[in-house]
Amino acid sequence: MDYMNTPNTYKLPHSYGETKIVLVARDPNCLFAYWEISGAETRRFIDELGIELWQKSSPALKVKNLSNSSSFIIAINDYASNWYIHVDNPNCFYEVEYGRKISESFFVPIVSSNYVQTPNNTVLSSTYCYFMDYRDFSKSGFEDKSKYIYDMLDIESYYKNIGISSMEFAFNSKFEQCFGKSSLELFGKE
Amino acid sequence: MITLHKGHVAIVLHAHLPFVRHPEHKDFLEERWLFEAISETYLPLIQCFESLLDEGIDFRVTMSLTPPLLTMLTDTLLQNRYIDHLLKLIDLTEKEIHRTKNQPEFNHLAKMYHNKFKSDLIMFKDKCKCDIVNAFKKIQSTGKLEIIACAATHGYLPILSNSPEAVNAQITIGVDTYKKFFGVSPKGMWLPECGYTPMVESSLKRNGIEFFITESHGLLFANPKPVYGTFAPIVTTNGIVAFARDIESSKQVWSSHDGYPADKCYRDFYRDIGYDLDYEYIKDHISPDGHRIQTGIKYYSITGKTNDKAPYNPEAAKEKAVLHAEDFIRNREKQILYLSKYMDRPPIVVCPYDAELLGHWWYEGPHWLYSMFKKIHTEQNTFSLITLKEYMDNNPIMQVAVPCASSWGYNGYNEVWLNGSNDWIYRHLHKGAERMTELANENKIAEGIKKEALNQAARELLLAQSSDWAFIMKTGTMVQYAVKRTTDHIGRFLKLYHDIKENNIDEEWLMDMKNKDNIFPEIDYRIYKTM
Repeated sequence: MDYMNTPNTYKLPHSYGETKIVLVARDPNCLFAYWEISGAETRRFIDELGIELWQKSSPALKVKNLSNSSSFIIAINDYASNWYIHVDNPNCFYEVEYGRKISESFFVPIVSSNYVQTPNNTVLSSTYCYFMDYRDFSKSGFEDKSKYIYDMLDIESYYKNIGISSMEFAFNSKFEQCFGKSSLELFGKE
Repeated sequence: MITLHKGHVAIVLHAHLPFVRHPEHKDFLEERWLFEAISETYLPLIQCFESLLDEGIDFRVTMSLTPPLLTMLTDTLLQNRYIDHLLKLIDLTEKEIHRTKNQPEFNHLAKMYHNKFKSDLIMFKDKCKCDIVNAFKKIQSTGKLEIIACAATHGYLPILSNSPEAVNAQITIGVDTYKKFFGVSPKGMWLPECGYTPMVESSLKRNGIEFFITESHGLLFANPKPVYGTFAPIVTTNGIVAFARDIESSKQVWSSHDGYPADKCYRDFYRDIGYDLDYEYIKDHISPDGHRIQTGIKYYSITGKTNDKAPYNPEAAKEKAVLHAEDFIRNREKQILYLSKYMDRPPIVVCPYDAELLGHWWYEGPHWLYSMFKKIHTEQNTFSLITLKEYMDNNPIMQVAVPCASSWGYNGYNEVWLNGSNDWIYRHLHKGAERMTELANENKIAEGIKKEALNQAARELLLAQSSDWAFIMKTGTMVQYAVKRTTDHIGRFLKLYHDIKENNIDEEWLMDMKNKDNIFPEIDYRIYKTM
């Protein structure tokens, strides 16, 4: 029997029976969070704070920028188990809390994520350069000439074309070869 | 070092295929990825390097050969299946020579393929003794080729990095596999998909890795700003050297609009007799279920924006590859002459490519590489080829900076491997890493069948982590296979986890899994214990 027609032996669990939220920095302006909230955790919330508060609240994520001490709340729904979160600040540390939103200013956290850092997305300006020979640091200043090197790099154009990736083409070729996708879609354009 | 050259070019070829080995099936479609890469890329590259050596051409090239590829290339089952694959192609090309006898524009191509597959067979069986890894190893011993390591199963490290143990296992097992095959320690590592996050550094350092390669903005957006841009490596605060991909030379080869492989003279990749010929005639050479696939026999050139393709002319295509080699050299000369005015050290232009681009995708790629290396040696003095390690030895004083988290995927960060098509896998991959560490912590010593189960759990987790599966899910083709592979490996891991916890190991099933997923025979699950 063909592998693809072999019945799926394994069914992966929808959850692992725990209360947890995991955060990943996808790119300078996007975080990805996934979570699961156990039944026990929900019961604990109700026992401690009351069924009324549970019923009057809705699930939400509190996104905290730890680098500039700001935060915002995103209303989500009971069915979601992951979310892509737009953030404004590259190069910042973030943490996300899953919890219940009672009002615009009242959020009760249930579980907190790990910390992540959004990557940088620009050439930084720097004053000092340190040089080392593996073991010994030395200080020097070559910044003046650096300007000419960056001029040549045409950074503005690179920003627009970022991610011209070698693997995209080669892997497309590896995995699409059985499907006869036209070369015109990738190459052959005059 | 005194040199006439004003700078250097480092060609880096990354050779990788996911681990695809299905002993349970007689003819498995996806195993052809390996067979095609052997015929179209790995054997031609070996021939290219050996010819240059025979001709006394001084060249340098850096290559990564990933652990799944090393394992598949040395696997007896797959070696024998490759030979069977070649024999079928030789049979098909014999039929093709007969079929095209009144079509001279195709008949000489049928003969070309016939001779090519026959010579592949001789080279593979008689010359390489079926061991392609050893052929690369021999070339490495000349000092012209430097082979670097890669992570165990090409796991995409930035999204695995919330488990330091998972990252460490990928890197350590990658290094151990390299040592097993090459008998020495690797100096450099290819980070899968150029996926860098500062969190990989401690494990790289622990494993004696001295350098890695990032996407251009891994250095351009580093902190502080590297004064030489991508044209000199930096050293991280952990003392590891980071090189970056050059923007201009990447574009020359990879651009879908004006990259070299798009030239109309070159062989069209997609037009293949597997699609073109009558079903009855070709049925023995396509998928057993009748699904049409590529055979590797292609008679047309890219031609242009038309479906009315012109017959392929190998001589004209080879001439064009030489012209493209000259163009590449000319542009590097200009680049290096400019840069050398402003740098106090020789600039290095780092040009990484997927090895399979050359030959498999861009059929004339190996000839381009051969011509380029020859002309760099004989026809110019502006720059020389160099390996990354050589550059470090010659220019050991480097700027200290922290590279920017980055990858060479679309948009430059993690998006290709983390989006709506594949994000479901991370809940399981992260949980798997956590549970593997739990098992390793709980079983400081294990013997017999329990030890076998723990080691197999580690193998299944590693196989589930291959970046290839998330990538295929994103590209939208062969998705079913990638989903099934991910589900199977995680499913097997979870079963092993429960069986071990419950002390109820299904020995027969375990041995079956060990036979199927037989990568890393020497693995020690204790690599996952809490760091």
